[in-house]
Amino acid sequence: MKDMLLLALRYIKVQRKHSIFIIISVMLSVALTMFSISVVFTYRETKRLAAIEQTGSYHILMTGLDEEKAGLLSHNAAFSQTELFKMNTFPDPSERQYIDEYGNDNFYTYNYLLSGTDIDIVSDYDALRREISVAGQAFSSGSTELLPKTLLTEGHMPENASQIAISEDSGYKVGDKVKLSKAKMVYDNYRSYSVPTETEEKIYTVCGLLTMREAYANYFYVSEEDSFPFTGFFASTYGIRARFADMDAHFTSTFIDICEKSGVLVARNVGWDYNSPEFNYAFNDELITAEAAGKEARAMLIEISAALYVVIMLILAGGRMIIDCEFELTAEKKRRHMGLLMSIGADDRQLVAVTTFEGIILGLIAVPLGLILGYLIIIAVCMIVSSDSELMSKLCLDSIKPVISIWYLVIASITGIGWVFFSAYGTAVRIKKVNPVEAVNGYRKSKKLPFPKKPYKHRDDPKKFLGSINYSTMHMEKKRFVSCTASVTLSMFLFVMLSYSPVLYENYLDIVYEELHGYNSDFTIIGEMSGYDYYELKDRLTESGYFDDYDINPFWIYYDSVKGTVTAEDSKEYRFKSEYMGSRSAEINISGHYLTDMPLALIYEKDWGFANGSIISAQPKAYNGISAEGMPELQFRVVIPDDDPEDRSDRGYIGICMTSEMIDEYERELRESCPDYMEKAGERFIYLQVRNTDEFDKAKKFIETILPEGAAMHDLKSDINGYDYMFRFIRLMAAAVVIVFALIAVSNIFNITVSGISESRQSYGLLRAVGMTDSQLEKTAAVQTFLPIIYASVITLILTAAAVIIIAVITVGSPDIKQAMAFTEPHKALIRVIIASAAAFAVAALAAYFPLMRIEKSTVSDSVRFEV
Amino acid sequence: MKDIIIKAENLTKIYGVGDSRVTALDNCSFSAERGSFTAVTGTSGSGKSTLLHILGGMDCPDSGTVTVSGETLFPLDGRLNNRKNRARLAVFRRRNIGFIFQSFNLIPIMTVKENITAPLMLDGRTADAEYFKEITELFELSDRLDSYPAQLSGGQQQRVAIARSLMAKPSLILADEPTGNLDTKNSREIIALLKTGIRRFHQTLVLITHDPEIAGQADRAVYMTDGRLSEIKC
Repeated sequence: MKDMLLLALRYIKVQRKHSIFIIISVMLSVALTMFSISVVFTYRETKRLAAIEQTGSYHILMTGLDEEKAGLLSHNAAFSQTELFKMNTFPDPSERQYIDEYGNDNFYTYNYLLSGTDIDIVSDYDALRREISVAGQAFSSGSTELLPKTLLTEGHMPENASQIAISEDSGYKVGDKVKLSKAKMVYDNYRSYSVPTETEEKIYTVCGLLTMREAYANYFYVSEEDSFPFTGFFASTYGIRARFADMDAHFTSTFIDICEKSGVLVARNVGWDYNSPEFNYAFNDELITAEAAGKEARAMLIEISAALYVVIMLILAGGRMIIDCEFELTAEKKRRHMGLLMSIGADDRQLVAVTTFEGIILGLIAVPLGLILGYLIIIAVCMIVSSDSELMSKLCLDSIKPVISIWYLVIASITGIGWVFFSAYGTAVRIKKVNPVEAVNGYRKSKKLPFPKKPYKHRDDPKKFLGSINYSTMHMEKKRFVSCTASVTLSMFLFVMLSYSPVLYENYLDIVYEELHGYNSDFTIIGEMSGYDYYELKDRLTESGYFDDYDINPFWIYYDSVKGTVTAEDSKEYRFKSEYMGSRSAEINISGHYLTDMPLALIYEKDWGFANGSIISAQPKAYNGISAEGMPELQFRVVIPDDDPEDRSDRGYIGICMTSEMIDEYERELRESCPDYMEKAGERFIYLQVRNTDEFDKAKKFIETILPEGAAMHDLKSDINGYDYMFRFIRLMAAAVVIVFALIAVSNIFNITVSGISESRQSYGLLRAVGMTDSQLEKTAAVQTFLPIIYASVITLILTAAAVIIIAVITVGSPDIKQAMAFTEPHKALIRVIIASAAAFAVAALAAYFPLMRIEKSTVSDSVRFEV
Repeated sequence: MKDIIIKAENLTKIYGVGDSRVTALDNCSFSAERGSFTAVTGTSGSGKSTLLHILGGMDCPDSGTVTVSGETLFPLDGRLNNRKNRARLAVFRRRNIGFIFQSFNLIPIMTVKENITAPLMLDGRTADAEYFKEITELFELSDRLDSYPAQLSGGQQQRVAIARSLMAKPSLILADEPTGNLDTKNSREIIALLKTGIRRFHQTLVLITHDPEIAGQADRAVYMTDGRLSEIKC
């Protein structure tokens, strides 16, 4: 076997060009595999670091705990690293004004916890309005220091949850114990004033006394059934930032379990109910996702892994085809040599070993080079991304560092070695089946040779003589021709689709941007809120000064809760913002929270942007009572405007639009007919337009502080920046992969062409001997060189067209040709096919030039003096 | 007056440089009469094939002249690397020279018919059907026209090579050991066919051989040694 190894080394040296191409192919495959894996994990690690930088390295943040409960949780083994910290949590002040039917100002009082204090507003509203604003700001910023110190006349502010500062004229003194019931005040429509509802008795220790005039008073009921005003400021609470020790699939339920077993109750939201000893918690979803935990993260990891798997398979397929092609080209020469070895006594094992060793040695050379190249590529990409200061600033990172794990190296190495081994072994097994007699004699007598079944039909026409030569060549080297065409096609198609993908994403962004801009809003608050939540939010927004009443547009209330059926000829169930096909009057049944027998506007718009819709109907036809969902249901008869009744492809959208006044009116009606209405949460979209664009950032910060639990705020700038960032990232990644694929493709085409010309050297020499001129030789070589490229270009064009159509159907849905064309922009895919084809032709021409020149410049006698 | 169809004077051809320098032809002169059969014999490495290749326009001498049918083949006006010269030689070869190689050298990707008609096809001419039929019948190839060289025996392949050399009706046939890879029976048949062919079609044959029996059948025999020719008195 040592001799076979030496022979393999000799082959590598003699077939230097083939060896180099194999090394380059394996190298690029390994590099691309490593790069693909590394880029995914670098991206994940970058996201993780960004999440840590922006939100902290904890998985869960719990707030509003007392010291005892915080201590219980912080020592739990489920939390691997725990930070206990003192914090002042101030649930949002809630005070709401409304004007009753008599034009009087009235107030709702809610669980208004300022520094732990329940606050009520005294009757002198006008005098206190200024203080409300001040207090509102102070409360929202969460610091008792902002309240005037003159409020306290004796003692100190509360330092824990069992202390209370009380008005000085309450009759109590510092140190006294007082039993109080905390009450939530709810407006009673019947009585037309606020009444307490839920209560909880607790013993408090008076720690300080406050002046009556400047203080805000709570109404508390004592057990003596009398109420008296007092003010209490409760102490700060504790929080925990903790990392879970085990981020398994059930870590959230594990957390809840821990808290329950610890005797610490868990609530989803402190919200309104300050009576219960519950506290806030929030998961650091960004970090959890980045660390691949949680349902969504796992789903994302599966998606990324699947995509990565597909990419790697494509890389390997391309690389394998090139390596196979290369070994196949050398197989013909080797076949005779193997026959000669066989004739002098080599056995099968030894014959297979020669080519297999050749593959392994080439793989061992190529793999380390590929790993180094892959590492350099990922470093280069990280450097390029890191140089984007705007992007780094958004990520709150100084730079992106590549993530390289030993496993990537192992996977890429095994891939490279494995692939070249299987190619070499396969070729070796095929070669060893040679008949030694035929090999020694230099010709085949087998009947199974790939001759064309029919002779070339123009063989008697001298003008078509060169065509005859190419016809025969294609048939006899069919396998090589097919393999070469396939590998060139794969390279070209991957190049086209990868470079085309940013176009699709950019078009998707255009739609997103249009939708974002279509609403003409700077911010969008989305979330489930009850009526109470919504009105409170609205009031705070207007009071902040950043938004006027008309800047707040609660369109599409209870979005997606509308169902409708078209009962006319074209019966079709649709939803809110649904399609309507055709044009005729139709009976539409719509049910939803907001519907009563009050007039409302139906907006019809042909395109997606509702903001420009036109009102088509304002009166419902009938009121159908309460639907199965417990909501009032209305039936509308609408006439959809249509300028071409014959055109059945018309498509439009029907939406329900309500102004603020309508909402107020409806909700008042609904409260009467549906008592649970204000309590029941529904999904709302609230679009906000900043009054002064200079205050955009301040307004954004303000909204973040008053956002109801479960609601999310999107600002247009961030959304657009986020999309822009993603687009830039996708573009960069696609460019990097495209470059590598292009290198593989160029190397592949170059190799195929040079080898093809060299393999035909024998035939060319014999033809020159019988009188073929250089120009005839060049024409023959041109056909053989460019024919695989032509086939590959046509097949790539067909595959690209199919891919574009599939993308259009999937992404655009029901085929609206114009919409599909606008989204997929097939002409851009076509341009890329043309570029790939032109490049392939250029590379092939360049690759053919040098060996052809060498053949032409050699003497004819040298050409015929060769090994047959 | 002798009708000299080919005349080569003072041909010199040197391969390699320095220690590997080899003088294949050393001021060698050769001529042949039209319609004659000349045998060229000599030891291995004496320059026989080199001489034949130069006479056939497949190689270029370092010095000397070659004239075929009154047309000066060498010296070239310029180097052989000149594209124009290469084209000129190629056209000359396919119209005036029929070359037969020891290893047959049929074009493996072309059928028997295509191999035979290749010189004509390259010249843009159609084969004369009658002449083609005569040639193929003479060489017993009529039923193998659609076969490929790999499907033929050695003897059959050499017949195709000979038929190819005669198809363009060249004035000069150059054969480099055409029987070298054949058995005795085939060798005799091939020589007989060659002689029949050249007589029927009035062609001149210059043939390299190691076989004294074949050399004895020639009208004239010359001996090469160390790049020089000498006559053998028959």
